[in-house]
Amino acid sequence: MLKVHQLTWHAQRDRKCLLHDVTFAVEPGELVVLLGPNGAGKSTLLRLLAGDLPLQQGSIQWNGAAMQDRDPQELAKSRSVLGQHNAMGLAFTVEEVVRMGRYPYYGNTPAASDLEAVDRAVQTALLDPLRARVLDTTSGGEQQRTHIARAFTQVDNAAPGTRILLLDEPLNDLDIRHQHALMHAARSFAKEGHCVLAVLHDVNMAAQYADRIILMKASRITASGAPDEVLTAPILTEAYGLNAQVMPHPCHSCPLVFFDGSFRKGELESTVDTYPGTRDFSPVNARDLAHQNTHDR
Amino acid sequence: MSVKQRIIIAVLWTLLILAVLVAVQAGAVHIAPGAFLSSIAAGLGFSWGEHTDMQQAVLMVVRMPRIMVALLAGAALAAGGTAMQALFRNPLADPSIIGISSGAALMAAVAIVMTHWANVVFGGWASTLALPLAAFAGAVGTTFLVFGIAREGRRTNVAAMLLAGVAIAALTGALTGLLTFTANDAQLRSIVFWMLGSLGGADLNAVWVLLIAVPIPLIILLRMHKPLNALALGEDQARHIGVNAEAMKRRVVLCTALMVGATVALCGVIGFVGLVVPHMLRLAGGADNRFLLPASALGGAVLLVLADTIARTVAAPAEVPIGVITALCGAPVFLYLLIRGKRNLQFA
Repeated sequence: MLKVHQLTWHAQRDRKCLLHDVTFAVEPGELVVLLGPNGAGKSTLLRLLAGDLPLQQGSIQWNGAAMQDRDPQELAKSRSVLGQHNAMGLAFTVEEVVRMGRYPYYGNTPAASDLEAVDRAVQTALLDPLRARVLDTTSGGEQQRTHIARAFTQVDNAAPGTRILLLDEPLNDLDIRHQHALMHAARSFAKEGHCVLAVLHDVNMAAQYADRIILMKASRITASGAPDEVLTAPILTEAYGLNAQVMPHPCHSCPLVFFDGSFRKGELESTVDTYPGTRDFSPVNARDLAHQNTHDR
Repeated sequence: MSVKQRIIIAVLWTLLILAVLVAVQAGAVHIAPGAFLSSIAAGLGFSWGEHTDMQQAVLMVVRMPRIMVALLAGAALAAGGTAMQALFRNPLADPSIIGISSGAALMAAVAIVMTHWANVVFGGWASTLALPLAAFAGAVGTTFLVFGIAREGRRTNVAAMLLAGVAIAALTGALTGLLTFTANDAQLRSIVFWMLGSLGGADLNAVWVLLIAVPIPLIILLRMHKPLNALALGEDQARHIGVNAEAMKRRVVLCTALMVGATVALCGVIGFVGLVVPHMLRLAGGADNRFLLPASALGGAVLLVLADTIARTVAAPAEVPIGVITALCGAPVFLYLLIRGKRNLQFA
């Protein structure tokens, strides 16, 4: 299991506090979703868990030992990361990129089991017709599915022990069908006794698929618990500064959240007085929004 | 590797053998394949077939060393180019991007201009050893300088390395220009010819030097196909799949500096091979370094053996600089592939 204890982290450039005293655990079998507005510290947290940033204060325990002390290649077999990805630059095909997820498992030549795992991942992500295409020439959603397949095939093994998937905004660029397909795959991976920690922005996807939701704002955890405990109108309105309404989901036993587009009083001056889609941003609002966006990541 | 990639490798091996046979027989003394094999057999202590003593002597002392140097130098330049393109995630990179050629050129120019003084101080051997030693020191020294500038604490900033390489190349280029300005006519001619490359100095000693400097770094690079591929995902993503990105960057730069530095020291600056051979093969067989690194090494060897054969025969007894030949032969082929395959080209 994953245990994060009193994690505090300051930006190296301006010493701005990006994470403050964050403590939580992810148990085997759990799919945990991180929610929160831009700049809340979600991505910083995930990057610390992925080893992209050096630890400053606090500790990260993974299966009983400090995460940063583990052998990188062995760690890669039990921890897979889907991050924000960039263009490859060189003409690698979809299949070659998915096969990179098996790199921790073989030396010079992939074993039959590695090729089978690649096949499984390619089939699951419905990438079969695209196998030989150059990744950079496929659509954004297809590239995202390729990297998802790579992340899943990396932790597809028979070794005993808990494995973890760290997903940073995995629903980016995916259509609704593939969004749900991914969340199903993540949940069944968790149900096999593993951990999934995903940063999402879609509150209703979190409501439907998460075992537990951790809500972050301003570098801290502000709420944590089952979806119906965290996704309440007061908590969400407070977190996002946007008026939230919550009702029971018509098909599932989880909350259904919607935001009517009106800002909480005092958050932004002009609240919605006409149809939200036709409202013009005043220069003041545009500046406020731009300011908020600079805190993102 | 896919079937197509295996076929390309097999074709390249065949081309390599054909290129060596062509290179062996071409020149003032004609050596047919039969005489070639017979001479080789005699060299190994067997008596088989027919050849003349003249053929045997030309083959062993002149032609074979030169072919061996061309094979090793071509493999080093092209595989080094492939590794640089993977490291910088940029198909326009080649070994000169980390300062290898510019540093070697500066130090070679220094050696050429100073040879007269070196001969006075150290005696005659200095003039034969000074140039390659200075060029090698220049190549490796500049590479470490560029690498050092790009260090940020414990990590290497690849973008900074690229820009540092450009800046250092401009600086060493200016200094080389200053030296050509002060050089006399004979020195000037030496500097210009050295910068166009030549295998004219290839003898058994050169073969030994390259046999020490090229195969080991080359094999290390060939075995790094997985981390080099993974780097295309980005450094963080490569680390997530278990690649030690920092260690591999050091290793790639060191291996490339050693083998390309030794090549440049002995043969001068031979442009184009490191850039275009990997590029052509990538258009033909894809970007996977498990295929591309060995294919580039073979392709570079083929190109350089053929280019050197043309260089020493086309205007015999004079020699055309080999850099001119590699560009003249390779550029049109490259342009053709580019025009045909530009749909599949993507720049980040």
